[in-house]
Amino acid sequence: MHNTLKLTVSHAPFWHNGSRISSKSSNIFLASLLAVVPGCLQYGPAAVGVVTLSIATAILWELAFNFISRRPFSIGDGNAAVIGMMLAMMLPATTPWWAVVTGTFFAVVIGKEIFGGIGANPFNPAVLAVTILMVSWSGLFDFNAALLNYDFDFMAVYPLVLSKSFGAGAVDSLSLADLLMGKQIGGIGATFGLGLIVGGVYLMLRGYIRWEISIAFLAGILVAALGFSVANPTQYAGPGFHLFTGYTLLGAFFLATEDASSPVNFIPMIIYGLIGGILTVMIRNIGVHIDGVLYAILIINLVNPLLDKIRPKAIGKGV
Amino acid sequence: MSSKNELKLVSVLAIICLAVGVFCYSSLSAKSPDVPIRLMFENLGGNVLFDHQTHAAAYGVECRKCHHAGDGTGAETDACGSCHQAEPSEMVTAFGDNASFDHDMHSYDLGLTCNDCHHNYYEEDGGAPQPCSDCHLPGVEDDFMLGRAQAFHKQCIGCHDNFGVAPGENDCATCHTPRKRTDAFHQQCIDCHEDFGAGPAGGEGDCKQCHGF
Ligand code: HEC
Ligand code: HEC
Ligand code: HEC
Ligand code: HEC
Ligand code: HEC
Ligand code: HEC
Ligand code: HEC
Ligand code: HEC
Repeated sequence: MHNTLKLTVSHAPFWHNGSRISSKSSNIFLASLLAVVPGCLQYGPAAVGVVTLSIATAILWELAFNFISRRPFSIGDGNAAVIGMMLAMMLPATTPWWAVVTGTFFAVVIGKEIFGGIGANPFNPAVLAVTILMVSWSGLFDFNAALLNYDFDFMAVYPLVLSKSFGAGAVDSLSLADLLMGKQIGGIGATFGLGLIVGGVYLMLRGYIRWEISIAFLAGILVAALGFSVANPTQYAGPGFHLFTGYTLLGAFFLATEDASSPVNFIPMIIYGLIGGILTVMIRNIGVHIDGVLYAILIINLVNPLLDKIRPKAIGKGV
Repeated sequence: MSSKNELKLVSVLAIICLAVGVFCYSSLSAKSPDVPIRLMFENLGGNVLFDHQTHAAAYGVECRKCHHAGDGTGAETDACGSCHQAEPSEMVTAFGDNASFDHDMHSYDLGLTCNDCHHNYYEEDGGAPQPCSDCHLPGVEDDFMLGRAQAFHKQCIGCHDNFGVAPGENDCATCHTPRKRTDAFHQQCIDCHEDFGAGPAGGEGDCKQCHGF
């Protein structure tokens, strides 16, 4: 018998790039501004209201939970602020205040804190929250109805509704360049594709998000959309369309890459991303929902622990 | 940065964001425009997204063409549904059970001669006047002959205008019981598209150009 010192190790993920959580948070926060600022310019003060209220209440909910559960204040790590930002990016600019406050509650408290706080959440908190809002008040996310009073110089119809209800022909007239430049309606931080891409690439280069996930996710979208559109070009829009509409880019760079709910090894990350992309297009094309990104991400979050079982053989005995 | 400073920084961020958020929601919230830009009609056939601004501006349709019962300026446009209600109502009862035309009042009280209206009938010839629709056929109109509805509109409203009395051209509801809401929309939208030869009409596949949003 020998004395064994037991070290309890918490759940995955284990991925350290040497910096503090707060610097990761602030980098993601700043990168997201590349898409959020153009969104605010497009939708005016209403959008600024949603974004700021979302960030503020996300922080306050975490503070309140820390207080009630008598744990050290964790808002300093910036994760709550990032969650608030991510949530706001998915919302239409006209979201009522109560929906924002409820949303951040779902995200921070239900999505993260009750599982034990940062790192222990099985799902991306913001995605979980928006999905709950969507299921509870589907009218909030009818972008066509939500943004009726805005006068734009481009076709003010949510592109995914067009393609879903009216077929690929209805979106023929949309140019990919326009979509990329945010000439489409949608979530505050979800439509300015260029900003999302630049922000995403920056985060990849700095190592704050894993490129494997983002690239695999986008590849999944491309492959699946191509398959559908080759099979039935009149009904299903092409891969470029799916890439630049809905929550695709937001999902690929900012949502699927949330680290507690995504895998850490190469092969699992690739599988995780691919499934996410493919599911997204399947839900859009043959499911009942308009956009599939959020549901797809929840599903891959769910299989993430399984995927993490695919790992290199450990060296040594009895491990 | 030490965790103490981080806490401070995030607290300040929360306070600023809260202040800005509350201010934006309470004071800067967008008012809905006086004249709608787009309208969403929710209904059982699948929602219809109607581009009001484009119809009025880009297609050059006058306000009164659609807001047919308004004062013509469109400034005080009542919602269609305020007259064309969803519950079933007879389509046109100007001459139906709730007839809004009082024959005796018109022919005797007002001192009009029979010939003012029955324009090819002379009392001294005896007999009864022919019904208007013997000659003015419902739904048939050409350069020589007015259709039934047009004949009535022209005669009834024309005389009221001469006398300067109501009901005039835009007082549809004084003579009529409005049709059902869905009929009102379908007829107005689709008739005009047929006239223009543009926009979704009644053809196959056209339903899905309006419905489904
Ligand atoms: C092609 C037909 C069409 C034209 C042209 C048009 N409108 Fe309308 N307008 C509508 C319809 C349909 C509604 C919806 C009414 C409802 O909700 O029941 C509406 C609604 C409105 C409303 C809101 C009414 C309410 O209480 O809901 C206003 C105000 C209005 N229009 C003003 C105008 C003005 C001013 C013009 C001319 C510049 C104009 N419209 C031209 C069809 C038209
Ligand atoms: C203000 C216009 C007006 C005047 C004046 C008028 N009529 Fe009429 N009359 C009508 C209209 C409109 C109808 C309905 C015609 C139809 O349904 O085709 C009608 C119908 C009739 C009918 C048929 C009624 C029925 O139940 O089928 C008779 C008979 C008649 N009028 C006789 C007269 C006589 C006689 C006079 C003169 C003393 C007269 N009208 C004056 C407008 C008028
Ligand atoms: C016997 C057939 C006949 C009957 C019945 C008849 N009309 Fe006419 N109506 C005509 C013809 C033909 C014309 C076109 C020639 C003309 O202007 O006289 C006409 C023209 C008109 C005009 C256009 C006049 C103008 O100044 O442009 C009106 C309005 C009209 N009819 C209304 C009526 C009404 C209302 C009735 C029933 C009360 C009626 N008509 C009964 C044959 C008829
Ligand atoms: C030749 C002239 C003339 C014609 C044709 C005429 N009207 Fe009139 N109508 C009048 C006058 C004048 C009054 C005003 C009576 C008053 O205010 O005392 C009137 C009033 C009315 C009123 C209001 C009655 C009320 O109780 O206030 C209605 C409804 C009406 N007319 C319907 C019709 C209809 C429907 C027709 C066509 C079938 C028609 N009128 C044709 C002259 C005419
Ligand atoms: C002075 C009274 C009067 C006014 C005001 C009036 N109408 Fe009429 N309208 C009539 C009469 C009378 C008829 C003939 C009814 C019939 O055929 O039995 C008629 C017929 C019609 C018809 C034809 C119905 C059919 O069966 O084909 C339509 C549609 C109609 N009117 C719409 C309108 C609209 C829209 C307005 C307002 C812009 C209006 N009317 C204003 C009296 C009036
Ligand atoms: C103040 C009441 C009122 C308002 C508001 C109103 N209508 Fe009407 N409308 C009537 C009446 C009354 C009639 C005649 C009876 C009928 O045809 O239903 C009529 C007739 C019509 C007709 C038949 C006209 C024809 O020539 O065949 C259409 C279509 C119609 N309305 C559509 C609309 C639409 C669309 C709106 C809104 C933009 C609207 N109405 C607003 C009262 C109104
Ligand atoms: C008075 C005329 C008029 C009325 C009323 C009208 N429209 Fe139109 N609409 C047009 C014209 C003209 C066009 C075609 C413009 C073009 O293609 O250049 C059009 C086109 C459209 C289109 C196709 C737009 C596109 O971008 O292809 C839709 C959808 C439409 N209308 C819906 C409606 C609905 C819904 C209503 C009723 C609430 C309505 N319209 C009433 C004149 C009208
Ligand atoms: C030009 C556009 C247009 C076209 C084309 C069109 N509709 Fe509609 N439809 C409307 C509008 C506008 C409404 C009214 C919505 C409301 O009540 O607010 C409507 C209402 C309806 C409703 C709702 C009835 C209810 O009680 O809620 C049904 C069902 C419907 N349409 C079926 C059809 C069918 C089937 C076709 C094809 C034959 C068709 N529509 C073509 C514009 C259109």
